[in-house]
Amino acid sequence: MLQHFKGIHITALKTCVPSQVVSNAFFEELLSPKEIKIFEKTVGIKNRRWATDNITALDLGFEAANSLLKEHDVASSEVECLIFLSQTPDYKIPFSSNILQVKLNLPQNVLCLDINAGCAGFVQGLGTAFSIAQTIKGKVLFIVAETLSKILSHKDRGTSMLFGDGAAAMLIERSTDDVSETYFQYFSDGNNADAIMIPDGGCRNVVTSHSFEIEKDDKNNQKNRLQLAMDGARVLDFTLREVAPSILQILKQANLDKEQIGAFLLHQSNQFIIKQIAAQLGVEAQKFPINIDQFGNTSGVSIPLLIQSQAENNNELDKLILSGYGSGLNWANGIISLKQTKIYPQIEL
Amino acid sequence: MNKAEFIKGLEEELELEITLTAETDLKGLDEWDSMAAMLLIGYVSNEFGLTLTADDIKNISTVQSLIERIGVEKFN
Repeated sequence: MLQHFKGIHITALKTCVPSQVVSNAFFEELLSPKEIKIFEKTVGIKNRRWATDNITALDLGFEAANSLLKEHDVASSEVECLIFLSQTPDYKIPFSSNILQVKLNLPQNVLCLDINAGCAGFVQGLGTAFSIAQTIKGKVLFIVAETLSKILSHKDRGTSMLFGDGAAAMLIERSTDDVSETYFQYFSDGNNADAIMIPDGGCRNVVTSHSFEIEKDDKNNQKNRLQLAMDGARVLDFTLREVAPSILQILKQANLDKEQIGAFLLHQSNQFIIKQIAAQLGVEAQKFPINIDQFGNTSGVSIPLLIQSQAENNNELDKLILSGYGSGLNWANGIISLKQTKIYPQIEL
Repeated sequence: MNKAEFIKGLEEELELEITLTAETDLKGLDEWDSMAAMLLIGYVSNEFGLTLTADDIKNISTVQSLIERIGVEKFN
């Protein structure tokens, strides 16, 4: 599916990350010093932020959104829709946006919507926010927040070092500037739904005592059925096969050449993958900013954290490619300008 | 790049403590894991502009089988 918008903007953005920094030294029981060195060379992660026990994705999202509304001087009545996108919500029932509605003092006549989406989620959620913003006078408040650290086994080399926590909040609205154009395009491959999954805990496989039993693989990785399982080889193969051609496709749809793109903001899952995609596209690696060394893979939050880093470094924010890819398996791309977006300083919780 | 240079380069890229030969079974190496696979894919991509897939990685056994996958004619 392809979407095309004119005159809809992200007017303001704020990010919030946990204050707790977890370096690769934390994993020295899992990996030898040499393995950690190779991990840093390939995957590129040196540090990640992990929320402490009493902080959830909803808390991080609330801090980002609450600060955004205050700093951007937005009256609560201006927000007509609240979207919360996460795979790590507080509860199964109720959904989180309803809880945030009252915490953020938003009026009752607001559409509260939760989206369960993964690493492509930022683009999926943004497309949803743009679609709604096009039909209303007020603002859409879009929050993406994750605490993946809470669903990992610290004895699984395939997942535990990869993920980090964080949140971003942004305001999306119509403006009188009708010139700016935005494109989103989405893809799904449900055949690989089991490549990234938590097997138990939903209604298909309800929680039983068996769910807590530790399962070991041939490399002695250990996890239970309520923790994240990822088939890394299959996911790596998928990203190297699908992402670059899909970026060329959206460029063609928007009638743009890759040379006209200011920067390619790719989901920060793995530095190696980003460099491979840059090479596949034949675009210089400098146009693919990377901050995975600081935050790890924060799922749908990674692109907003990258936007934040770009703004802090006074880097390009015009004609950006956004590209998310991950659980589902799903991938989604966007072409957007954030020249007019007010990006506020990052906060910590 | 000739075969010997390729094998030497791969040995350095994978940071191996043993000497790699055409007959070495890559999957049998102590160092073989998903990160080694990434290093291998990156090395082949940089040197030959060829992106190996997960199926390629699955089918490769010895260094010689990797060379055959890349194409023997590409080594001078």
